[in-house]
Amino acid sequence: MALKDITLGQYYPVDSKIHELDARTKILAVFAYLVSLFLIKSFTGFGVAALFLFICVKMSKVPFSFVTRGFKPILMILILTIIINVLSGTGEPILTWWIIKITKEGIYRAGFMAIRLILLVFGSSVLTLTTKPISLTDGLEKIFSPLSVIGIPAHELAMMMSIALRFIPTLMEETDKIMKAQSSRGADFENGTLKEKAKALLPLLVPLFVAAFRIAGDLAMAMEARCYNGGKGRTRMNEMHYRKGDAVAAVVIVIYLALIILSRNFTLF
Amino acid sequence: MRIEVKDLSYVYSAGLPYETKALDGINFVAEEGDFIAIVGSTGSGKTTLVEHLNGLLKPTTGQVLADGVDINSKDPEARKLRRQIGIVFQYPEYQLFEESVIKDVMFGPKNQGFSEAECKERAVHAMNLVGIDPEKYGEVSPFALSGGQKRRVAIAGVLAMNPKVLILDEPTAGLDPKGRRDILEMITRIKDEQNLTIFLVSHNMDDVVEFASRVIVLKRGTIRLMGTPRDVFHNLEEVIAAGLDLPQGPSFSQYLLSRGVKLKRTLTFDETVDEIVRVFKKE
Ligand SMILES: Nc1ncnc2c1ncn2[C@@H]1O[C@H](COP(=O)(O)OP(=O)(O)OP(=O)(O)O)[C@@H](O)[C@H]1O
Ligand SMILES: [Mg+2]
Repeated sequence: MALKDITLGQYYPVDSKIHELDARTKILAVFAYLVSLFLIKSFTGFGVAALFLFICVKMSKVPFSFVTRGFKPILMILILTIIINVLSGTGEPILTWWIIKITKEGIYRAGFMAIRLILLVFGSSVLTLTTKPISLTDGLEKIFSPLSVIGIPAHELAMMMSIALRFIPTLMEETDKIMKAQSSRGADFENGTLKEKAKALLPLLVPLFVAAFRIAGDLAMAMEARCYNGGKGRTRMNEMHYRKGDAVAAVVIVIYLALIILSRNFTLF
Repeated sequence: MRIEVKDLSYVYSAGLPYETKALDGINFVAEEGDFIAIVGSTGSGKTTLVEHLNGLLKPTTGQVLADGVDINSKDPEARKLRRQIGIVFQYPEYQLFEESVIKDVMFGPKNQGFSEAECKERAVHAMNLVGIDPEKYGEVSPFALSGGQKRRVAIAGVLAMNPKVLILDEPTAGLDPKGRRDILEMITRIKDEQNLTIFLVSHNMDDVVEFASRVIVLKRGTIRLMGTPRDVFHNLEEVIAAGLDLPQGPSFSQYLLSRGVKLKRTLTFDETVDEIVRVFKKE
């Protein structure tokens, strides 16, 4: 089933040094990594960034085949980015055909953007592959909780996010069930023109919406029955703690950022 | 239609750390007109097994044959056979979607390519079979019906496709005793009228004893016991080991035996009553 191929946002349960890190550390590290990708000006810098990511993936014990799986959904975007960048390059054309002009700068820029996009996706999937969705939202809540003084409801936002994350698998399961039921009544979700395909979705979407409302109603009832009334005064079962590994990770990230900034000035190629 | 399952195994999420072997080396034959009950504790693989019988899941290894043809082969014949195997899922009422009951029941036949008039005729027939009056309920929204009525409409939606094999995954879950009996009696009636082959997944052993001609007991993806209800429930230890309840009859006669009353092993409720009367009259 195609739905199961999406690994972006899927947790891979193994024990590793990366899995053990505090969610906050990982969120901030990934944020730093994403920012660093936009600081890079040369392929040397990307070399450093790719090597860093490679080491992280190796340490996380998540198989490479699993990391690259999350890549399929964005393949189209990647190809489009490459084409647009190759075609919109300025400078001396090395190949001209009809209205198409391909320049050295264009190819250079396309390669640059493609690598940046690939690293962006891989970098963020390392976070989701090694952190349970619940720890992720807890981490985000902690990071943003200082903002509640200026009226940003960090807890409520985090709660909404964890509920949304929690119900992705449930809704997928529901989708899977409904699809099976309708296909055994002869529904065809794969063949046909675009219009037919859109129409074929109706027998899937109506029951899915009904299910979503049913689930939401049940959940609201269950939360109220357990006296949930917002974030004020709530304590948590598993407090988050920074450990030694988090300090090491922080140092590593700082060194990495320093290297990236240095690479802006020393270009090898 | 004759269904044959050969060395069927199925693994969920193959190759991932959380892969589960849901079925392991399943073999059985269902003859035309058989009423087969599939029982087993939660997670034993019942749903996984029945989803193989009409090609919704493809075996990891092994084969499912319908009248001797592998239903998963590319043969157009296989496609035609798959369409004659109807399946009613657990809580089928959740798959209703049309604006009126009759339209929902017509969905299957429409996909089979019948004309509007023919679809309607089949839908009316199917609704009559399940005891939903087409005159009264035909134009009502399916979401306005009670749970039991929705269930019947969903079953009608499958029956309207004229299946030769009917698979029901816990069709009576969550219904009251009368609703349960009604549905099972209806299934038996339709089976006899149209000579269907029935697969029924059930947690209720009394229903199994009363309605099934053969029983398959699953435990952790393998067949533990198979045979007529009498043979299967004769093997009380195995049945209990598979995590099943005993039907009322054997359960009560077992109790009397353990308390020193000498009586024959029985199967159905009525048989048990007769046996107890016989024993006590003799004393
Ligand atoms: N979509 C799935 N992905 C992964 N594992 C699954 C999936 N569906 C079922 N399983 C696993 O396969 C095994 C058999 O499940 P199955 O649904 O066939 O059980 P069942 O006998 O129908 O149970 P129940 O009586 O609760 O309906 C279980 O261990 C279950 O956890
Ligand atoms: Mg089941």
